[in-house]
Amino acid sequence: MVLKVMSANQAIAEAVKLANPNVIPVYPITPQTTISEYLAKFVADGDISAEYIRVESEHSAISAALGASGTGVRVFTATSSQGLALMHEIIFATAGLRAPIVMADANRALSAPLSIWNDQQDSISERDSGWMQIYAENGQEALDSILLAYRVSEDHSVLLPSMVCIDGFILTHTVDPVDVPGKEDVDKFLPPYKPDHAYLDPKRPMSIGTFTDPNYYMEARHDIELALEGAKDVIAKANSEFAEIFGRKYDFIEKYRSDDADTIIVAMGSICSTIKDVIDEQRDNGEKVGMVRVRVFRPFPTEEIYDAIKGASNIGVLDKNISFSVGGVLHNEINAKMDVKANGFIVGLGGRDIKPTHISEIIEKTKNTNKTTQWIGLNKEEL
Amino acid sequence: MEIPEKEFLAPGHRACAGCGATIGVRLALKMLGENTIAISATGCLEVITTPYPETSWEIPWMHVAF
Repeated sequence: MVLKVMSANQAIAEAVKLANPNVIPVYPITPQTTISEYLAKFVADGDISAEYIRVESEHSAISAALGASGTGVRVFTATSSQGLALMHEIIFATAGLRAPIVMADANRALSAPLSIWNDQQDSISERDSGWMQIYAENGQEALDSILLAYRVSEDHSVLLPSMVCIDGFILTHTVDPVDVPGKEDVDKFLPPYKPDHAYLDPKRPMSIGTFTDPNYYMEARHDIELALEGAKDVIAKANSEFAEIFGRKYDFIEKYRSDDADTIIVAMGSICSTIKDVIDEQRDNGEKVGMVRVRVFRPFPTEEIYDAIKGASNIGVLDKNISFSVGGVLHNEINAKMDVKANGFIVGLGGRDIKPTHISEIIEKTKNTNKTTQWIGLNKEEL
Repeated sequence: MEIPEKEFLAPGHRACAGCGATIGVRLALKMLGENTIAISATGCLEVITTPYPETSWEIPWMHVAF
């Protein structure tokens, strides 16, 4: 295995090259831009034969992606923040029309005030769309998740789009050693996409995206719910096969020193690397703390999370998002779906640094379980 | 100019009598022929031609949004 040092954006572009999509409609936005640049170069150099469409907006990028997917081919696009917000209308249509598009989202704060820095408000705000969502911790996982996402999205029992989320700048613009798998192994895991369902073919005319009256709409939405829940089995199978071929085993969640922990921190994305360091330090001091990282956020792995945290007396959930007047989304979903009383912590909005001292503060505040939401890392003069 | 007899927009849709949109589409499809894919925006044409589970389109047709 040869490890190459690269950013998560480059790792994602390498994964897309291996997945070999037919159409790539993409519009650049910081901090996603280098993904579209790497892909443009791959196409210009003839490394991949995809049609690269320079569109005039993110709304057009996802619309072109959906139209292309409607012809029954593999499609990739990528965006971030305001771009994802501009896509919102078509994000729902993509899931509704059951198009297995894979998109990378470079997680960035939403305006206003304007910020180009990281939090996860953009993708979390699309959580009700029917898209699957994976939050990667590092560049290797970003690459692998693209391959896993295609495999699951294109499964005929699923046919839902996937969003692979990577923290802006923290992952998109920092470099990590990454194993870029060989094309032969990838082809074994991810054969070419062969739709057997709805697609635009003059030899077999059909209408896609028709007008439904109240007698039909609800069943179509219910089908999405069934497909997303059913995707859990497909994800589990894909994870096992991926591990067999590539030697890296992913799961819905990652448990870190949590089995015997009294206090468990739950979080998503790159911050989990910092949390692991703090947990190692505290374990050295005899503290029974652990972490659960939620990797697959949609479909929501209720059972896996609950099994991992139910033994702990104190649970703290970190959110890089805020549903105003309710709190962090992951925190509220865990308390709503599980028989636990987790504390919530709003952290890192708009790129605010989350330091190891903040994690220690959170662990300390988690020892008093009360379901409240606290903002960590605010400037003192504003409190 | 010869107008082909073959129809690609089936009758029985919900358009008002004399609707200009359906006359236009019907004639356009006659000239474009069967190797055509239609993309439709949300609006009257979509609503009158594709009341699920029926469709007037005898070529591939897709509607996404406005």
